[in-house]
Amino acid sequence: MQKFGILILAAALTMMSCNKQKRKMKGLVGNWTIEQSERMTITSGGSEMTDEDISNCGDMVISDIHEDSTTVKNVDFTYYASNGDTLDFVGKLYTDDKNKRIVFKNALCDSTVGCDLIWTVDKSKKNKQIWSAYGVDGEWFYPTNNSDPNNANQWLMWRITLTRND
Amino acid sequence: MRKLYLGVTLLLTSLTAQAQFIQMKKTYTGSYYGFKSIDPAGLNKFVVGFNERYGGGMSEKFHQYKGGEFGQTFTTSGFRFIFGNGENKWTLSTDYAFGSGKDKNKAVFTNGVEQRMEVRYSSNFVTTTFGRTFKENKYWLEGMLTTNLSKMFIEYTTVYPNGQESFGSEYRLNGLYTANLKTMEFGVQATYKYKKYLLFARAFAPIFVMGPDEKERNFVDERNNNTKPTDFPSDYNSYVDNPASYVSDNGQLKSTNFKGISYGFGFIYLIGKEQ
Repeated sequence: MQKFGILILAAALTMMSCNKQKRKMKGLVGNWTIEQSERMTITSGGSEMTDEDISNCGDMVISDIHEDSTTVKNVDFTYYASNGDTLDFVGKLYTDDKNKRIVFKNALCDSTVGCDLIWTVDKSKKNKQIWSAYGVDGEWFYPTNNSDPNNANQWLMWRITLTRND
Repeated sequence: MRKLYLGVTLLLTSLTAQAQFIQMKKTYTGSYYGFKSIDPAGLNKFVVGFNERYGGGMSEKFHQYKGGEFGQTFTTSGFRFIFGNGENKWTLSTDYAFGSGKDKNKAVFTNGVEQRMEVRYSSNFVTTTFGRTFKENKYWLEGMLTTNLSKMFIEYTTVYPNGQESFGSEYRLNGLYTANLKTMEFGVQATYKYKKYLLFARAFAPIFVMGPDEKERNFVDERNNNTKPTDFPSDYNSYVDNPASYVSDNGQLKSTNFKGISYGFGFIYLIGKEQ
């Protein structure tokens, strides 16, 4: 009986471990509102100068491609900037084993290089997500200076706060 | 390998049929700490190249690796048999063990930016042991044959002066890199048994690399969308100055650098009634 109990416990732990990633990605499925979007400049002193701070500026719908797809989902993302520009992306969303990055595949252009919008996951809760993306010396996402961190005076940060609305 | 398992199965079946011949058959579970010695040359080539290139603008440089940073904490479970007649008997076991360890490294620049490199190393050991028991089964000495399925990860991030950490595309090296290595290893194990508890020490040395294919032993980030190749470099200067050719020039980090001897100490609990 004791052996049986230990075997059941070991099997349960293994299954929980295997399903962790699946649960995290499953948690992203649903309808989200971009509650807040902040674009700012980070100085070498560590201060943040706000370039834009807007609320309720878009939405996002994430859906399953099929039930077993663990690291890729369908995404429909719409963002309205304060200057009237719109980022409207319908495509695939990828993440990693530990859910530290969210990748919007070909959200910026349609090529094999320099077109993915890569978000760093700052916070991931059931009903709230905070993601951020960056740039260097005034160039977003794929800057010319992409190797030497000391050869820059300021950096760009775009942080979005998403809240679930279903 | 199939023939080996078939042989072991037939042996165990045969032994089970002769119950009086088997002194002990037990499932067990336990834990041990394994010291690991890798070849740090590949990682250090990256560290030295990076530090030399940007050293003038750095207030803290990446530390070099000594090779012993990747000790692993293992959990293990398996099956154990002791059989034979006479004072000294034979013992045989098969077990599975999972262990992981990591090392954190960082470079700090004078403009307030940091770059962090966390290297994680996990091993899956599938081990068969065979040896002799002594002093009424209190002491065991065994040889071991192990398949070690290893996975290595490098998390490379940039931390900005406001404290935000980024895996993003703005710095080409940011990313989550993975590599695999499968080795066959030979080892020895010495065990002391006290009632249902075992204290043991074991050591392994790799015999040969089983896989993956030589071209697939690089550290790769599948989601890095900068210009290819994006394999994690060993020769950092070549990575920056000749980005198109550093992989063909063999300037990338290889998972075979993580092959090395290991040794560990731990305890095991025999499940069920004492025999």
